[in-house]
Amino acid sequence: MRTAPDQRRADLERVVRTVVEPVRRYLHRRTDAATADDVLGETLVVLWRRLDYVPADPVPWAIGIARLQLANAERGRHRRGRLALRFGRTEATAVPDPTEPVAGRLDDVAVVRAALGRLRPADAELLRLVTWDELTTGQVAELLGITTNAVAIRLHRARGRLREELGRPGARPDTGQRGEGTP
Amino acid sequence: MTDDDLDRRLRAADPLPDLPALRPDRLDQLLEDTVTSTAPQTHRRPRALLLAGAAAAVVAVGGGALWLTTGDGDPTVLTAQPVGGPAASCAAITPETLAGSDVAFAARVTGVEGGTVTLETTERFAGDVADTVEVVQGDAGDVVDGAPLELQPGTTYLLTADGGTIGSCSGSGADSPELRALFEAAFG
Repeated sequence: MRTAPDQRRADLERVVRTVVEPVRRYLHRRTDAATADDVLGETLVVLWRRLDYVPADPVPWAIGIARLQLANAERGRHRRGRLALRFGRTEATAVPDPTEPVAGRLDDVAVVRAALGRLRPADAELLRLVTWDELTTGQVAELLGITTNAVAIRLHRARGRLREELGRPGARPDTGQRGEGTP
Repeated sequence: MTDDDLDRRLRAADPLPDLPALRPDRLDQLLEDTVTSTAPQTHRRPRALLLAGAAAAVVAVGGGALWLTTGDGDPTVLTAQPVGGPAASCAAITPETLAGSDVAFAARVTGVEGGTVTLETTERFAGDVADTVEVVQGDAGDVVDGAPLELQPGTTYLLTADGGTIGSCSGSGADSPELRALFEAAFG
């Protein structure tokens, strides 16, 4: 006979198998690998404690938890950075930006990333959630706590702003494919 | 440029298109670590706070009452009902316990006068909280868990009230990453 704790663990495993890869990808796109691993672990602990509240689609819910945990981790990092400065330590606290273009490469990837970086953070994040994390508008609505209609409107505006940025002088026109760039 | 074209360019700019899936043994370990995780590091009101700051600027909550006011409207009066007996200690604060609170908010102490603390709401997590919150000092003798929350000028606190009460075991405390993580997990 399966005991209650066994059942609970089985429930957790079922949820984790559903959310772990989307959450990992979400985190690894936004921070360094070590922080992503730490935050993934913290996210699963929160998920375990809130197992009774898991919604029908746990993916946006779990990403929402990861998002908050990552924000906490980043705040902690900033605080350690200030302490390091105060005590005159020189250890590097900066984290490589995974969206940083490869040095010297001015291909369309770099152009798009640069344009994305000039958008308002909320617009850029919305576009990332839909295209990089492949969330549906319904899932984004769940994650952000807004209506699907509001997501669609914001997405429309964000795409418009990105088009504007890509149309600015200095932004290379789309070559139609991912170019190799020149050094 | 159509939406599809734009999305295609965005997807091509994905810095992580091919993250390998977690190895099965690593996933098993992660699950094991999760279910054997100890209780979260609960927020313990630091004893040092009891000694810090000028005594006149320190107000204990727990045996007091909370008013949530808009400045000129009738205040909503929340009375304090300490939980447990004289030797009671607070259970671990979890997102689940916090989530049951009627109101949850962050507020910074802007003034202390005549036993009344005025706070400016900086963030709302749950419930209807006015821009200004007043906390009236209660009888310190009513505080039952031995660790009254103290509100000090300039400090930001994360506060909850449940059933009209800021309990001394409510999970309220000075803003800290640990406590904030619990609040965000509870109300995020």
